[in-house]
Amino acid sequence: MTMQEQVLHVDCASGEQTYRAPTDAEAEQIAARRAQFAKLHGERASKAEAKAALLARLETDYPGVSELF
Amino acid sequence: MSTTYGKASWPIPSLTDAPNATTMVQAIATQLDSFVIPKYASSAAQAAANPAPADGDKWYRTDLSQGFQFRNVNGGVTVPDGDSWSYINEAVITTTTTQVIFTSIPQTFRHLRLYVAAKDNSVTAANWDFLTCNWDVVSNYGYNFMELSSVGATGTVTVSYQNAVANCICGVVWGSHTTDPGVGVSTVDFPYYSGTTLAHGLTFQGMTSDTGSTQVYVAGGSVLSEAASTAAITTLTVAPGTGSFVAGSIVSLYGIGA
Repeated sequence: MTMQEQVLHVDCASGEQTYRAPTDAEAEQIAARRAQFAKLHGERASKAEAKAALLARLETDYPGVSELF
Repeated sequence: MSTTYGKASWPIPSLTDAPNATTMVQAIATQLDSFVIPKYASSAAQAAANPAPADGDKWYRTDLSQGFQFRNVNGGVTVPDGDSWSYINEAVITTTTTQVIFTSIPQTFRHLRLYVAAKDNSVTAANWDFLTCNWDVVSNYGYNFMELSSVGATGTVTVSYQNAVANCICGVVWGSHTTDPGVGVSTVDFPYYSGTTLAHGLTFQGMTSDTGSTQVYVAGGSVLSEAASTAAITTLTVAPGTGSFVAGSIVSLYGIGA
């Protein structure tokens, strides 16, 4: 979290839009969200890497098989 | 009032009628009711002037900048006038912004739809980021995220899953760290968002790419908040998963039906 963080609050009742710094509670939520999705990016990348490695091994024994996946 | 005149069939006094300004003005006012859309400054003002609307009655609320119409269906409903879609609000990002928070979402519609076109400042290996949303802060979201990734002619399908988490996926965002002018676009539906009996869920579709040169990612999925959360959706936080929206990103919120 840096000092430059800001959120845009859109009040649908009044139509007002306000840029402001996150509240403490919002800052905690932002940090939690970034941790959650950084983890997911990591898992996704690992899965893609494992899939690519498996396909490479299959390709050795069965040339052209990776075209099916 | 022996004759009528014009398309509205207004009653016209005969020359032999006794002059009666009150009756004449009342007749004109009654006729005008069907042709003039009154403006009210509040719900209370509307209710005072027309406490029992008839089928087809229209009015305009200046406090909401929104027209309404009473329809005598389903026991009588007041719906946004003119169409089944209504603009609620839109955030056009002008400076790097961590998240957009919609509050006081009107509960007068049947469904919500969110449109997003966005880039963020994340730096991920995949060049794109998840679009996320949250309508309560409890860790009660679970989702399946199905992604079709294509780089050149090779495509792969990846499924991601999480449950009991505090934020859910609702689309994709392109990373601005790349030098190409890519974008992520997403459409998110929240059916029956204002109900309080059933849990709320969303469905979405999203696409992000580097403007078609080599990398294209198409994503779709569903999210369901657990049954513990049946509260109506009155606030909505929309944010990239790991970065912040950059200038030019747009988040638009619409209401559908009534």
